[in-house]
Amino acid sequence: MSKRSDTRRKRTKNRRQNINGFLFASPWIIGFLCFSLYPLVSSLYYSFTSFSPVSQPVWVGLKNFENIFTDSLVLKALKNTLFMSLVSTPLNLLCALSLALICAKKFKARGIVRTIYFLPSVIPMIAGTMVWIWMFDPTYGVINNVLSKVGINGPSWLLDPKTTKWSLVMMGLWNVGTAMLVIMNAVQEVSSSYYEAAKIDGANSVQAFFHITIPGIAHVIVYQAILNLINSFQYFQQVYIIIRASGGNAMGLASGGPANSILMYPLYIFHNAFIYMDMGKASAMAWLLFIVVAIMTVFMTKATKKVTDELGG
Amino acid sequence: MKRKKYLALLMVGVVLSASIIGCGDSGKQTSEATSVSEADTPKESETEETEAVESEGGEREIVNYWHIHTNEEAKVEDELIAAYNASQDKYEVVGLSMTDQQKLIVAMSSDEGPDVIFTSNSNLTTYYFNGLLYNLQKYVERDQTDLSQFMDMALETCTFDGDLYGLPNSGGAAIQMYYNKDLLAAAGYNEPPATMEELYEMAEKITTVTSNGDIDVLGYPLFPFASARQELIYAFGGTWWDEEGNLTPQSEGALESLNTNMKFREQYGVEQVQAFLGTANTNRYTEQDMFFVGKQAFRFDGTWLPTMIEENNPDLNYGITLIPATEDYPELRGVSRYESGTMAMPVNAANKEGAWDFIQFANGYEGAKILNVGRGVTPARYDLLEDPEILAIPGFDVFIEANKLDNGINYPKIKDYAKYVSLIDNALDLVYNGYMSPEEALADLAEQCKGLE
Repeated sequence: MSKRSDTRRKRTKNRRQNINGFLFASPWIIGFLCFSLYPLVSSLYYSFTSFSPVSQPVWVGLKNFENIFTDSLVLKALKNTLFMSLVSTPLNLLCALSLALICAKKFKARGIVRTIYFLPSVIPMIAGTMVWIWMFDPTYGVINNVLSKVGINGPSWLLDPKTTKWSLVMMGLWNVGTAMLVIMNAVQEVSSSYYEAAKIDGANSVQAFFHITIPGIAHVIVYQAILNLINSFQYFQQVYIIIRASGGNAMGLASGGPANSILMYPLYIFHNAFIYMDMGKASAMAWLLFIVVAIMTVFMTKATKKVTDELGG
Repeated sequence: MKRKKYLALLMVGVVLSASIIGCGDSGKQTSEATSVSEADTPKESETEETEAVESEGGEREIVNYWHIHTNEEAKVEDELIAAYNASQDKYEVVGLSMTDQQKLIVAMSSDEGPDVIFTSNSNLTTYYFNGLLYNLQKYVERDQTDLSQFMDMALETCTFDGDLYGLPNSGGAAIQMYYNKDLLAAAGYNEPPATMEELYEMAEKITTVTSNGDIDVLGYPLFPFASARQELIYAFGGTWWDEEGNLTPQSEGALESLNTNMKFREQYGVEQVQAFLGTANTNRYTEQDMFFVGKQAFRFDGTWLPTMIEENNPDLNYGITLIPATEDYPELRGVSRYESGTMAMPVNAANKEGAWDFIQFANGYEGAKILNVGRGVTPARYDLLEDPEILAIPGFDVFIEANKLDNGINYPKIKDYAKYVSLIDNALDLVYNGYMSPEEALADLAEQCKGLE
């Protein structure tokens, strides 16, 4: 009898705890339902409709998706976005890793060096981009001035379709402070006993780096790679600011930069939604982006899981 | 334990309330608003039908007016609003500077938007085709509004399918030619060119390069980009659309203009020209503007430039004249895009009567004069053309002369206008950077334009 009442009391206590836990979590749940899930599901519905600001959505089935696959600018935008993903992501990781390895070492003024490398991450994106626009100026910009000192004639960075994306890659490299910090912490957590053992076994620093450091931080690098990849597919702010700042560049508002060389996929979604006012097509494009990023994320996670397991991460 | 539960319940209540308040509407059915129906006839007094908001004093109805101006130009709007509010005691206009077009579109399509907007004629077309504007024709007919003082072309920019969707308070051939007198004199010229052929000849003599081959002074008017893609094309008789709104991406004049353009670029180096233009773009309308510092001989630009020159380099020795035309098309002298500043009423305006009253004032003689003189833009009204304050604005004699020539080119009233200009920009970028010849680029453009509405 006492056992039964004990069990009942335990169940009641658990239930109460669960209810309290749910109640405490409910503000976030309500927020998620109202401001994330509802818009998400709505946009899925709208992607199958013809929908503009003041008209009722009209069901058109797969027409928006068909339109996407026949729109040459979608392909252009995807190519530009893929360039940023495949070029910018590994370069950013390499840069963050290099800086993390430097900052993980013990030396004087280490704190100042870390601060300097992290500072660009806390500068507002708009302000930073405006400064870069000035730095990229073909005649008076600091970049071409430095290049001219070593005998190189710098290009028109933001005006030549050949160099606009590389300008964005350079801007991205400046902004690796957060990734640097995360990787640096992971490097510092690798036990020093491994390095000591390796030294005793006669391993040099390069061997120690590839056989101890990299396996030890592999999980963090994979995480950063996935994060960078997802972010690269949402590349919007910098290109929007660059295009708006060179407002004399175009007759219209739906510019993608010189010869649409910096027309990124999210920017083209924005053009369709707010300039062409084709909300249905914009929603369809957004869902397509979600599917592509989800597939790439799953693929990357599976592919790298094997590697990290082997490396013992 | 009980305290935790009550705390949790309180938090849930707060979040729920905030969500409901934030997501709720004020009872207006915005998603049902498509186009204005014939039955939607404005009444003498709509206070019983509109949800006009009273001001804090409880006496005047509020009219929300969103414009696109900032800084000094925003002060001019404040002056206009103050003048209107002082002129009557039924409505009170509250102004807001709204430069974010996306926010404006979202607001106009909801019930949180303004009653009156200020916009350009190019945006007006986009708003019309997306059902965002209220048809003002019935108000005009009801109140017998005198439109005779408005210039025909200015009214045309606000008219769609025969009905007025706005009133213009400024309008005209917005761009003409500025030239640096000192640079011309140094090259042996006392007068500006009268034809494009003369201009090219002068440009070759005036353009100078440094020992590195970089361009130091640019003679040909390749900047601002927007003018190079419009007025520099129009001056050769080129067009991107005809008067009926049909797209003409391969006009002979456009081809001739681009070939002349590329001839100049290739003579001085395509990369060198692009480098100069890149710097010109970065410094546009700043103290280091290439025209302001005497590095640009000819510039196709707007009525606002004298004010900027006065602020940045008042010692600049410059002149203004009509854009030249080619010897084959002398009648095109002064050709320019036609731009108008328009006031319109969003379809979901809460106070339509108040909005109409303000629109009439702002585009009448008194209101339009405040805007034209304050912002330095040419009037859309005939009765303001002889006003001494208007004529005293630097350069206005040239712009008014251009208006009288009636060579303004209106934007086409087509649904896919934004897409079309995006394709034009892309084609011209490929030409200017030497990736495609003008013939190839325009043929490609013609192909891509098929299917645009």
